[in-house]
Amino acid sequence: MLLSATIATPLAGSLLVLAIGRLRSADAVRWAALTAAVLSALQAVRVAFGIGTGGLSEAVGVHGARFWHLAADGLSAPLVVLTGLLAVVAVLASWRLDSAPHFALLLGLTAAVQAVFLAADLIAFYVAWEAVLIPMYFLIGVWGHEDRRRAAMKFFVYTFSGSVLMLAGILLLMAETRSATFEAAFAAGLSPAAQSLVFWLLAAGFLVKVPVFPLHTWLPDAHVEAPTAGSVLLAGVLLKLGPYALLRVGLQAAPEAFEAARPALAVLGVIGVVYGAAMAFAQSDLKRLVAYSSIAHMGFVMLAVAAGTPLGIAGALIGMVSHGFVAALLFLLVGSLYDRTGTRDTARLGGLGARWPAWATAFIFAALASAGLPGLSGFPGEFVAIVEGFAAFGWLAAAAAAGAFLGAAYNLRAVRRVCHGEAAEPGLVAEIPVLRGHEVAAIAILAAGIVAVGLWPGLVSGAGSAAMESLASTWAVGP
Amino acid sequence: MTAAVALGWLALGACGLAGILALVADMIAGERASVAPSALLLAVASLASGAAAFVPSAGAPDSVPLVVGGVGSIVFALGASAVVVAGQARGPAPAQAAALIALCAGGCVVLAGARDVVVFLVAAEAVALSSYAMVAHSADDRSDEAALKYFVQGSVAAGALVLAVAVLVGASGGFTSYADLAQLTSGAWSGAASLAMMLMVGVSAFKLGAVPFHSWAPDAYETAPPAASSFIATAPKLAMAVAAVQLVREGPFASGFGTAGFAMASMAVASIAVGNLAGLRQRSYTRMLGYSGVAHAGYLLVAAAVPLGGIVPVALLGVSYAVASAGAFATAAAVRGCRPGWDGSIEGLTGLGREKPLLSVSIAIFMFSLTGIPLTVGFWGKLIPLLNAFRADAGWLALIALAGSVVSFGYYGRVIRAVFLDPADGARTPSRDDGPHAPDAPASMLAVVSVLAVLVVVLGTLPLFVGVGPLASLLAGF
Repeated sequence: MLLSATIATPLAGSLLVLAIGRLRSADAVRWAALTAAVLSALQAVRVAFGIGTGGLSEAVGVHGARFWHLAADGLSAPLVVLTGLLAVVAVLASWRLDSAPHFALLLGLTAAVQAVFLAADLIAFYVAWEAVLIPMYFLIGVWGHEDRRRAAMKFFVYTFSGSVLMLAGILLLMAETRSATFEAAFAAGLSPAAQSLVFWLLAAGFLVKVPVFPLHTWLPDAHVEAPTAGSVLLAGVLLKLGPYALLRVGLQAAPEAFEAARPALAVLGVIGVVYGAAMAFAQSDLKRLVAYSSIAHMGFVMLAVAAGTPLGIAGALIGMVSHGFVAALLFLLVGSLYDRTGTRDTARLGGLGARWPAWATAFIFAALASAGLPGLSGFPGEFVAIVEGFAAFGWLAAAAAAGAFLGAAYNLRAVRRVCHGEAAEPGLVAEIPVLRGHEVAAIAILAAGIVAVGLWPGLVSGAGSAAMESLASTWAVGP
Repeated sequence: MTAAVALGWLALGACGLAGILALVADMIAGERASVAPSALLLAVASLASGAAAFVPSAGAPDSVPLVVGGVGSIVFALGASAVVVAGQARGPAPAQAAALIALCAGGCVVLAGARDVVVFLVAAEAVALSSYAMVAHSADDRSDEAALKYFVQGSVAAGALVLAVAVLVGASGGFTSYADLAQLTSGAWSGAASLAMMLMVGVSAFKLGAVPFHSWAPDAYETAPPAASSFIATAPKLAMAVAAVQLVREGPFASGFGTAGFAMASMAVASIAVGNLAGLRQRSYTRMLGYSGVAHAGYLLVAAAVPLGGIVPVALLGVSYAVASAGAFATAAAVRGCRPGWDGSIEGLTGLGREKPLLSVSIAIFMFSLTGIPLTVGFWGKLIPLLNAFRADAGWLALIALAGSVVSFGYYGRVIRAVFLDPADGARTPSRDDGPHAPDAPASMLAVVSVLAVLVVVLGTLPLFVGVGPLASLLAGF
């Protein structure tokens, strides 16, 4: 029942928070939400310890006629832990709100994301995938910034259209294989013609979520308009659903189609790297800059997924976890800056290194991690992506390496504009602000994660080596 | 007589008694009549019909023109909830409305169980007559106009239906039951049978509100009192879809199903396209729900056109639509209760989320279910027919239905957006503590809406753990 409890804990917490909201005590709501989030994170950590070298699986319900099959292995466990930790961060990031529905939606979103990572059945997977959409829609639409309603609708329409195509793929797969569990559906084997249809229908849903280049336009809007906690979860975990699903469902359901699609996926990844970095370079709104940097980082992940080797998959996994921490930290910092100054415009900021050293230190740390400094978590994933990409696709990976340079450029330029030099508007940060306790706690969690993954990437990928070998062997024959 | 059959007759008896009691109450007490006994009797009918699904019925007899189990239970439950809403809505003569709803519910149950063309004819017309009266039952002129339009078109359909029955009975030399007629048509497929089939399919499509026979539906559902709409837009559609599958796919026309299937698929595509695109343009909440009904007639026809799984896919989709749509119409009545000045527009729902959280969350649940989002029953309702379509190599039909679902969020989402996302008018800054003191909707109406919303979520979650099988066997009945 461990896996079901990982989903049930945040869900129960969500309902509890709603009930406590009737008391109209903001503190009670906050602490209840934090307790629920911490308990969910502990559950997630238990899953990570529970899988050992193999995996966990369970099913609840009437035998033989259910869709509630769950499983965890080395591929899903790091993402489950990431989700648990970021749920805590998201609750801390919205500490100053006193709205019970907001906290309830954060916890509900956590439950839905955990369900996607743990699902081992096509129907349960789709249900969880769509369930992610509803809380996120309300988080953006109700608690977002000025243009929130348009951004929420755009987010919903893009991802819903994608997931309906994915549903068509799932239905086709189920109709062809006559089974709904991952195990049976993947074992049945599809004809090559059906494979490529199924793969691209599924991929339509996955690639919108990543997002890859032509399907990405919902992302900057959604990130910029979302409240800080929403951005943390959106960038931190929701973007991971795409690559994860590509590995978990796309690759295994249609291995031959995946093999044929690898170059296309690699090109999409490299376009994401270069385009995201170039767009990030052009932004003056810090939140928008972080949003575009997400597209670049997810491009590296896509490149590593496309390589498809065990090491490539490990690199993709490390890249996903790393981006989860780094993007969450950047959004958190930008959010707390916006709370104090009311602006995210780099042209109006400056000199924060002198005026608010605590914040500037954390920001420089996050920017360096985002730029891929060795020793921090950004480095191993992108390094592996480029190396494996080069082995598989040759000079295409060189473009990604150029993207990594651009990554250093836009991150360092943002640091220079925001932290160094003279304050552009001296009145903006009149007195030296203090990072509040909840902010420090959230930053500490994320910074610890960034350093830990940077120094010891095996922490993320170690448990999954068996799963990665078997994933890689589904499409490639031989060693 | 098996126990299941006895329970079925008990349910129908309770339903008839509910109608008579309502008339008696109306006679004794006039306008102030209480409809509570009628609602209670319909609830009893719902329970009895539902209980029949759990009784092992050894060889369910074809001769009993009744549907029991999930479909019957839902029809009566929707009747009970519509009667409660009608009683609270301060509309004209609630007792008369209750009597009409009971008559219509009885007709639906017989129609869905019909295995004889004459029973089909009589039941379909009983449903239609009570529906005309309910549409006309509102106090204003627009409703009279809509009812007249509905009635005139309905008369043409009734004539076509009588003609079809006459052709069948005449050609077969006096047989009326599906089984006998099927034996005749299975040998030589005559021109008479083709004519009858064409007429029957057309009449079924008219009564479902499918394109091109849909023009009455949005008018009727918009202008009828919301309590009446919550019943006539839902239960008859469910009953008609089940009846049509039995008639066309398994009844006298089984051997010629190919042609009928093609006609159904074409009308399905047209209904999905027209219903969803027209739905996008609506400002009125109930008229939008009317076009949503047209689109759902299309989805029902997709389920009916795919010859797999008996009546279960159609019944599942019909039940999922009926529950969510009845809830959505009932919320319209509830919103009238707490916002007396509401003009019926979607924009007029703005800011409801802060004033009436329970009602607003229910609206969101109904809208998500009508879209087909998981964790609501609407998801399972669409999943099974679409999966069957892929299995039967009719994936293109499924893709069109899926595209329709995406478009439909354009208008369902607008409702959610108005209720939760759009700010209330500038002057009234919403604040949690000093919310505007709007009157509350009547408690029993809120209870009906909440029960339907809970039903949508429970039926939407349960299959994850028990599969669709139990729902299917509940619905299959006999």
